[in-house]
Amino acid sequence: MPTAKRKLWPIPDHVAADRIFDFDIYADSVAGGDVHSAHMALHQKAPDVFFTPRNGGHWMLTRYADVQKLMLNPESFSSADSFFPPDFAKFRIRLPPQDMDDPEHMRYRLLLMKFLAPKQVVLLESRIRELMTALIDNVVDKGGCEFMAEVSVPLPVKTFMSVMHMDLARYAQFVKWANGILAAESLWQRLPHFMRMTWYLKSLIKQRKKNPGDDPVSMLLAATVDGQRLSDKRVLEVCNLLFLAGLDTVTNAMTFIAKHLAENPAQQQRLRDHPEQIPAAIEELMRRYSFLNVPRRVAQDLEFNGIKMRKNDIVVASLSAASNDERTLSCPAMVDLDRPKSPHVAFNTGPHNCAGATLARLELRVFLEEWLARVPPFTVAENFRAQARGGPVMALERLDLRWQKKS
Amino acid sequence: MPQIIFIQADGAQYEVDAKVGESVMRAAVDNGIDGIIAECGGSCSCATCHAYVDPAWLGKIPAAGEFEQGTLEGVMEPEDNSRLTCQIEVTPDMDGIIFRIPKRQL
Repeated sequence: MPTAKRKLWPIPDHVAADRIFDFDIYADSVAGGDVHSAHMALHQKAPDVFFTPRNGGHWMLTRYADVQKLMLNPESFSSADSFFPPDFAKFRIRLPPQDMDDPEHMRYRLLLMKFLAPKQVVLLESRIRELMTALIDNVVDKGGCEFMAEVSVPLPVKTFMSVMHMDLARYAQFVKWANGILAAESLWQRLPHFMRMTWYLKSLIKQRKKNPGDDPVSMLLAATVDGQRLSDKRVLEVCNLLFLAGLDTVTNAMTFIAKHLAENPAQQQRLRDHPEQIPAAIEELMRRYSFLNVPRRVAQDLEFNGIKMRKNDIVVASLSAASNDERTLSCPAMVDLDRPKSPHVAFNTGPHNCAGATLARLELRVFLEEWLARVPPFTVAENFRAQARGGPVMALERLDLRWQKKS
Repeated sequence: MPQIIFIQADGAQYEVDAKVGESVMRAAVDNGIDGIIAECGGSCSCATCHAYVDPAWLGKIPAAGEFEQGTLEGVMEPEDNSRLTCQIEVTPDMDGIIFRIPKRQL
């Protein structure tokens, strides 16, 4: 647990005193080891829209309706240069089209949709099921596992590598880079892994230029945006986005879901007995365990719910708080598998809503179908203590599961 | 108020009083019509508000623009009469228009 001194930024003079609430998206998210409770508690403790002097100083939204407003108004709330937290800004890692506004954003998004849209994603089901089966084969007879290292990290990483037609033999190396980049708290920890990843992606791009295939990298190299081919640099940046956006997110979703079912044996058994309920259960679980904190940059001086915001203010939406808003649905803290609808923003909303959501849902469904069918009733290990990580993408550090060993 | 008819994959038919100026997607979602997901809230970004316009009406509504056409390529089971309902604005002369909802969006 890092003990770096947490800096306080000065409060800008346009922020009213009654709007200030000290919340560090890293340190305060992990209080008590439960990031979701920490964010949901903001509904009682803080104003709906508040300003925190942490991490560069930024606004925070915790209500479903407010997050909808933020995300559905891209002209007022830009995705360009909305660097958060501040150290990302130093490095200026470009991640198109996440950090672009329309119309440029839409042009790149359409490229991503070529392999992430529903029509293409359905074709991946049998491959994902193969991967999941192999992962279960590795652990099922052991009577337990460290779920992240053995299941929820490998599944999306291997799926990603398959989608990109990467050499699966490089898996261990890839995971090392991925973990190094995604789990690092400081810029300096992240850098060497990022550089190795970049070197690898550059060589992949070179390979595809020589031998184009029907993979996303080849497609990006052949694509035109506004009549122009993409530069190698731009292709690399899109690959960075795909890589960074699609890995730890699915890992975290799987892990939070697995932990919930491990701690709720009746619901676990219900889904084991009724696998047709899995898709709806995934929506309710994604709602309850949304884990992203998404930034936008105020594009011009404006008023949000009567509150003055200045151009270039950063506004961060807590998707976990917004998806657990008691104004939107009753008993949000409860995972209720019988809810007729589970409105949520786990995948965000608006033009930048998760382009990989269909793929993520497929991975989660296949995970639960295979896991519940083959792994006996499972619990968390007796001495397991949840350790969480805060920040833009909230996560658990590990998850130790146990079940009856085959005698 | 123009009336929009939504027909589900199982044949069930629903008539919705739509507001002029809102999107067909909004008319569906606000009136509890199942099968139109609209993850992106109507931003032409997610390909999950897909519906089939009744062929008799296809030529009577404005054609899909560049971005809609691009996103339409990704819907499940696209047909010639496929449209993204978030990109169709309800107008008074759309009274009685029929949309068939696909079996699945995802």
